[in-house]
Amino acid sequence: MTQRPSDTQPQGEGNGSKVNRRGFLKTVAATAGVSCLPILQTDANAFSLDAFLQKHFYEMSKEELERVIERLENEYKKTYNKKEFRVGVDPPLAGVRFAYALNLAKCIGCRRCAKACVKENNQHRGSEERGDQIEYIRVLEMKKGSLDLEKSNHYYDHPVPDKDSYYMPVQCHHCNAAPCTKVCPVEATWQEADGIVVVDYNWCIGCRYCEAACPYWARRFNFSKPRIPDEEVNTNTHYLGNRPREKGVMEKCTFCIQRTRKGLNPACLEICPTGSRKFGNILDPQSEIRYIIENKRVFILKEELGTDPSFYYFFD
Amino acid sequence: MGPALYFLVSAGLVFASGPGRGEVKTVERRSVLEDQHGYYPCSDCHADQETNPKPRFLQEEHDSPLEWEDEAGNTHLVEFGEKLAIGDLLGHGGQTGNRRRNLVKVGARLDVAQYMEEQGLSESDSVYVLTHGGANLWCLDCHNADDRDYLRKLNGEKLSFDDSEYLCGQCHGPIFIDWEHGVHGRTNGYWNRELDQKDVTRRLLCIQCHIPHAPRFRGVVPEAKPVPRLDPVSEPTAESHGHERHRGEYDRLGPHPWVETASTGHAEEPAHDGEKH
Repeated sequence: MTQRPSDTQPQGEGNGSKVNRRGFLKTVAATAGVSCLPILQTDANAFSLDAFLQKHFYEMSKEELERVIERLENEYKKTYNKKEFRVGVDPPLAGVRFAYALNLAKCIGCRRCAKACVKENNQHRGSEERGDQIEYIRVLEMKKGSLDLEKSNHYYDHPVPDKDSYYMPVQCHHCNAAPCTKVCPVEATWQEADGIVVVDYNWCIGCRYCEAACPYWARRFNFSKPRIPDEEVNTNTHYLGNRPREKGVMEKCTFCIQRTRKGLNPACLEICPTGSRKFGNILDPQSEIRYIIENKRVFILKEELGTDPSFYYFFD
Repeated sequence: MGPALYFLVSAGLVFASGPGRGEVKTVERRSVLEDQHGYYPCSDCHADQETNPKPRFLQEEHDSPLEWEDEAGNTHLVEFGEKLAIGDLLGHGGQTGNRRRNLVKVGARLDVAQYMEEQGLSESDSVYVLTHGGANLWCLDCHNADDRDYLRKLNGEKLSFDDSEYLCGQCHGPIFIDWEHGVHGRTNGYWNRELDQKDVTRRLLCIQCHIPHAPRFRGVVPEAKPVPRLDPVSEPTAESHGHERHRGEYDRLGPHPWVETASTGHAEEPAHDGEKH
């Protein structure tokens, strides 16, 4: 039989207990002291007082942010075999709102986008036993003529494309009415001015509300301490993007913020062998993405939810 | 409103719209001819060769296979078409779907059995098959018979091998327009051409993705499938569409009375103790 909490509570003095006020206070003080010990440690790998007291990304002054960046770069250098890291904080480009379009008629389901994303964004490689691997992109094999996501197959393992199927890669849709940012109790995730939905990994408390709220299953949680081989780690990072994460925080696709804010294409687009993926500035009337929206048969996944995504699917 | 004011307003609107993608023509294109190491111009060897207009299969007759090297240093084989055993074209190759239909069309162009006899070929001998355009297309529709160093447009004009996309665009007009707008095919590098200081943005030409003589993409083996997070033991099959994985999760909680059974294929209804509804 399960004990109820009241069964284990200490009895009051009136019931003959030997716990007195002085002893109780000593115990509380000792417990508090032991709890504070990790904070007093100076080993950067174990616990950092600076990290513990670090502010939200948008509450830091320029000087504070510079100190944080320097600390993070040093930490990563120690962790990843003395590799020099660059943690960028490139702001959104003026007059830019990102959008992504994916051609379902051209995608062959080769999963190269998912693997390129893992390498570019320093995702946890995971292990077979634990099943804790992280991949932002999930390629769904769908039967032709059907849009039933529940009957899609994530785990196909045969030469592609299958003649009776089409392939629908799903990743973060960077919604303009994002359910995931609304539910965050600490505002650790938000949408930037260029439309990218980001996470402040140092501010995230790991409650996973956002994961539950996302209708596209686009968020991933670090159940384990992320493992990235030294030789594969990407040292060109962004504070809100692909810098190495800790155990217990949420992460997601950021449209490769470390690349796209410099004008480059995301890694998934670069690797795509069929050119199914298109990316650009939706505010630019001359952009490829604008041409697609104006001229192609475009649809939004789960449009009825009113999430207003920045990610479009199209056929041609 | 005067023209000057109109110009200023228009310029302001364009400026406010953010950086543009730039014109397609600004994207540097790789010369196809430079890739054909030592084999171009074709007329070096073929100048005195008489053109044979008779439909036939292609066979590799160069001393060494034609190759080209891309910017990353990878070597690619120049292929004349889809390499197939000629026996497949006799109608018992076991091919299905589009490929089968394509081969039937190819086979309709000439008498395969008679061709084998004339050439002394057995069913297992390989030939290159033009699986492009079915029976409607032949070599000299695109290649210039009078000058082997050039292609030929439908109106008879000569066209450089470097401009082959215009040849493709003659039949595939809508795709060509999409390609011009950067919507069809691959464009790698910068989404914002104004930030591309080193001029690394490239748009691939038609023939850099498609083999001109067999343009349909061949199948590939996909990258490794993701590891199921909650139930690595029960692996779903292609037929199950991932349903077994969910069932595996339920199995940990004990059997559910309404789960579909393998034998009946339908849900087992709970017993109602004789109660009628």
